[in-house]
Amino acid sequence: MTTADGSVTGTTQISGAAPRNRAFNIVLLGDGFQAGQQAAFNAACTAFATALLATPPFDELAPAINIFRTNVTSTDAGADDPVSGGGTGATARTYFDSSFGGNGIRRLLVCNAGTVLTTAAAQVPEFTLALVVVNSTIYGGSGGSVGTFSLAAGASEIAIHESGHTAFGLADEYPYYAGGAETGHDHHPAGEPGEPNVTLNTNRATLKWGWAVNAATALPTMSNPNCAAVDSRASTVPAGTVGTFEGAHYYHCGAFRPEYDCKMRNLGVPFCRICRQVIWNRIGPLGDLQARARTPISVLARYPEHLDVFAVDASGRTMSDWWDASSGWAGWFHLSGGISSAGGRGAAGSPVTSVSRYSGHLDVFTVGTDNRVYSAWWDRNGGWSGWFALGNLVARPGSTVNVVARTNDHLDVFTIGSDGKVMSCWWDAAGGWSGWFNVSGGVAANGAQVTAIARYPFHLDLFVVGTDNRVWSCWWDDRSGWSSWFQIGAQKARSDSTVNVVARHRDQLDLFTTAEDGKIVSTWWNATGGWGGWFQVSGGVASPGSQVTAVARYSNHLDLFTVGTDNRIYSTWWHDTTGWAGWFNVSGGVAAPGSTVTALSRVMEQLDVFVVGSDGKVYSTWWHDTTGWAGWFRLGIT
Amino acid sequence: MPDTDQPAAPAGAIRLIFEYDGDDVRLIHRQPVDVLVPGFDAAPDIRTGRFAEVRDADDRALARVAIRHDASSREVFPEDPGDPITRVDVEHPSGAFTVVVPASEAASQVALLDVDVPPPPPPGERGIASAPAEPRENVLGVFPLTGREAGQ
Repeated sequence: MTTADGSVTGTTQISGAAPRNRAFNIVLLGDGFQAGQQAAFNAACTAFATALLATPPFDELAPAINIFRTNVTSTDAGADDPVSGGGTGATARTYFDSSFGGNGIRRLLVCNAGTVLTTAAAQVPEFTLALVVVNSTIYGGSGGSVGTFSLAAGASEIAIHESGHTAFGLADEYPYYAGGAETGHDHHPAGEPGEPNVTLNTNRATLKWGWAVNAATALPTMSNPNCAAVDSRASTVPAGTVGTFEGAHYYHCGAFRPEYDCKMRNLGVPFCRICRQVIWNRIGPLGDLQARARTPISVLARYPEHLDVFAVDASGRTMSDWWDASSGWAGWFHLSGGISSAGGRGAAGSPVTSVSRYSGHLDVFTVGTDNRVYSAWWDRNGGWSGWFALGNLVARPGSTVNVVARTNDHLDVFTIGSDGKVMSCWWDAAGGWSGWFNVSGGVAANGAQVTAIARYPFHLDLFVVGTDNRVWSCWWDDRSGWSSWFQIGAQKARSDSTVNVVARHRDQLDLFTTAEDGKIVSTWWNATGGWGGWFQVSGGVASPGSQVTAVARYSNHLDLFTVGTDNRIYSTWWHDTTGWAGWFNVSGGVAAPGSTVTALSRVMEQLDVFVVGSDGKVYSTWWHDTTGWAGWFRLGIT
Repeated sequence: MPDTDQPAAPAGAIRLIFEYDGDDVRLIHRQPVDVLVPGFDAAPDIRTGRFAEVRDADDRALARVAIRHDASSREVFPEDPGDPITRVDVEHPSGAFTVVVPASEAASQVALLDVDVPPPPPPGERGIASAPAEPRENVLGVFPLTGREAGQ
């Protein structure tokens, strides 16, 4: 029984219209269908597609899913059904050598996986998942690199469960290996499973799905009172509660699943919240992100060949994408399930801000919909944490959380309280998180944000637009503590302005903000001459709500970006020998009204720029000194 | 956005199909393919599992893609909903699996790795004060990404 026992007759796309190179492509291949039985295979494929696309979250993701059927004619009908597996002893000459009775178990339906994979690759080179439909009404199926299922009622559930393993890396959530009567499966061995939907950890702060757990839900949510047996009690919490339920990953105790039930535990039930999120995170990035238009994007380079981008989608969800020189853009994913505040500054809303204390670590911050300050972190050894609240501070809706890492083991965090006060707290590796405090009695204008910069590990400078719409500053030094606030000149700023600051070198500060009439204004400070006067930068005027972004690629050069009153994306530069250039439109780009341009320099002769476009999508371009400005491209996967 | 929108040039990718028989793993198919390797497949996190690591000619790692295939056991599904799904050990694993890896110009070879991340230390404040133990890696085989076509 080999491929001589049949032939491939063709492939038909039966569902979806996404570009094959940007889609989740499923190929269904028939086995044991003779030439006159192809209609039955076609009907089975249609039934599978209907069942899959009615299963959450595949229903929401249908635009990114293509389903193909590959018709294969076999010499004989059916599949082998050996007596050794409890079958009839029937044999069938089929293309993929399907056979019931794998491992002596009749329901275990196996095939020649190598032939299936090479056939699928030849028919649909972009395939993501290959499934074999076997022409038999005997109930059976199996998983692995190739899923199989028969025509028996309900067997398509096997294929959907198996896709959880093959395509999404989900673990089995059932608490036994061989039905519960086996020995040696009372306690899960040490070692956190790599899969995203099982864990040995019930610590709320470090739980891998902690972002989905309600603060009122107990952890562990259900514990097995008798580890010698499977816990067969009914759920003690309402259906859909996410927590930690003991009994998972083939063990009665010690391993936990996210919900009481899930398709990775039982056929015929929905995927749990966490598995749905994992599936969404795998397929969703194939689509574009619709961003909340006026919320600034945060970007950082943990090292020169890598970018991490943080944004907020139109529904307020915190999102991220990353680029690596070796693999291109990863695609958008939900950042630990967080939701950010939508208020303030013309509903610009709270952004996700980020800092990298060292190359294998990220800390991110936002103000949540309850207006509390939240943080999460990513570490190369362990991935993303859940979001956790920083104390009980209630921030002004839509506030930005600014953060500075003066050293690898220290964070200083700043935001605006609900009463307008400039608030701060810090984290230190030795002592953990401090409480919040008001910085020297400072109060910000309605809509203003506080910005901070560390010119030295022992020094901080803060800037904010005060309630009089003037620009104010104060500093902290580890020898003298916090200074009082002082006014920087007489310049009045737009009340929702952010004062952006760069330090071209340690004894120089350049400030940029927008005046009440939208003019882009600047001043500077240096250690030898003190503060300069305010001036308008090359006649520039910003769109209402748009901020000015500055980058210092080297000590005698500045690059500025903003969204102009015509919503075009503009830039200018300053060089110590030539002064300020005129504003120019960057590669013809047009941004969402009131949005903010984000820019950074990974290497000295390169700029990477990010905006929310006029269509609400996130775009980027870059400049390199040898090639100039590139065209804009939409962030997704590349 | 302007009409001049243009995506960055897509990274190339290669589909690899491996057959295994016990501990013997063979590359049987190698096929350039125009497909995106999602970030979640190429996540830089260090996790327990099996991975295909793309390397350059000097053995430097360029990308690592998770392989989701457990050859050691198989699932058996109940005919009646509500009855337990069970697993059975496979005494002599044999079969095939596929993986799509990003392939930049520098990509020269691919290594199959089993990675075992030791349990983390007890969580302290934010769990980052203590250095985690180094993951253990077992190389199952190294295969060329260029040259004579596999399986031919």
